[in-house]
Amino acid sequence: MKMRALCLLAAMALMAGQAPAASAQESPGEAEAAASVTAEAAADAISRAEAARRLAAEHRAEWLETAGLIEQARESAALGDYEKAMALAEEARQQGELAVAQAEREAEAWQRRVVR
Amino acid sequence: MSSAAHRIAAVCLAATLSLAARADPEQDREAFRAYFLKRFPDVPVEEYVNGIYAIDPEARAQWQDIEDFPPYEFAVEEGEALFGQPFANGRSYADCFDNGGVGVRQLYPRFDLQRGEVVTLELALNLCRIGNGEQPYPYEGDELVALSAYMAWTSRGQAIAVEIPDDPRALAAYEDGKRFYYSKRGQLNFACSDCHVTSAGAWVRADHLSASLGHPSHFPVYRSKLGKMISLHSRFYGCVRDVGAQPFDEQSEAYRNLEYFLTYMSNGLEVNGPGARK
Repeated sequence: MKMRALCLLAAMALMAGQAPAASAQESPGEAEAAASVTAEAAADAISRAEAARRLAAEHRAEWLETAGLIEQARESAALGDYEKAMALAEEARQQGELAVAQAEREAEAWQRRVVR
Repeated sequence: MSSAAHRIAAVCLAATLSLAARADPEQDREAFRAYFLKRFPDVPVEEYVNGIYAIDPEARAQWQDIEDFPPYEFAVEEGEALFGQPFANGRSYADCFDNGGVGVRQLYPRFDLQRGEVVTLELALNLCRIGNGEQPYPYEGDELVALSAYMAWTSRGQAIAVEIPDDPRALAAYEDGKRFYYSKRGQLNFACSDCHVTSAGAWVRADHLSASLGHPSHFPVYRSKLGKMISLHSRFYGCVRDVGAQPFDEQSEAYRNLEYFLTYMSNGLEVNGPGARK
């Protein structure tokens, strides 16, 4: 028991020590570059997410949250929070793709559930 | 096995799968009914029109208390008043339906050969309005639900008799509804049948899941938790949303075809709408 507690404390200390060190390594120039890349990537990610959502809707398979995630991504991008916008758009894109995969799977799979 | 034998086997398998996918609707209905009768051997078939109260004795006692003062009566009265109100051209809903619209609920939804699509009672009511120069009612509004409640009331005791005419479009609509019913959708990856066939009678949070047999017989229903009447399509909307899928509009083609399939499965059971549910 004492050994487990000791290990846990050691791990927490290591994590606490490493976090500031990582951010201290990023120069102001690098942060600006990351932000500009994120702005472009966010716009692309939103377009990809919307395309995936539309394809899912064409399959009558769109998931409930997808459109809302894209809307939130647009709002975040409009506020300049491109990192958040991209994360939301990526989640929406994945949902759209999973919904299409689900519909394609169900094109045959539903028949196995028919009561006979 | 020779390659010829492989080919023959493949053709036989494809033919079997194709036949299974396009089974006769009447065979589907008989199998559907037999499934529930086997699953709940103590429940008489005519009880399924009572939904969950056919298979959940505790909930049934509460429901019977509610039925002493039915909360849907106001909707029936409102619907009767609306039904009797003539249009601006002097005609009325009675002119649009067989038997003056009395006792016809059990015939809907029906496949309209001229329109080439499934026409539900609610759509028929709106088509009647449009045909007489009136604006259609919104499908989410109270008026159509009230009209539907009144028409169901006048049809109580009539056996559901949905027909699938000998027309490939009608069979395609039925098949589309069947496919919708058995297809998994949404983030929870659930089909209608997962809850209301496979898991009928099982707990879902604090309630039991109802059996699909008899589902359409009692709509529209007064839902206590919402404090208002809702249509069958509103219930579809809620179920689809609850499994994490984007719901379709009420009276969309998808829901009309689903209603067509689901109501056909209950052919022979009595209309007992409108109803009251939690």
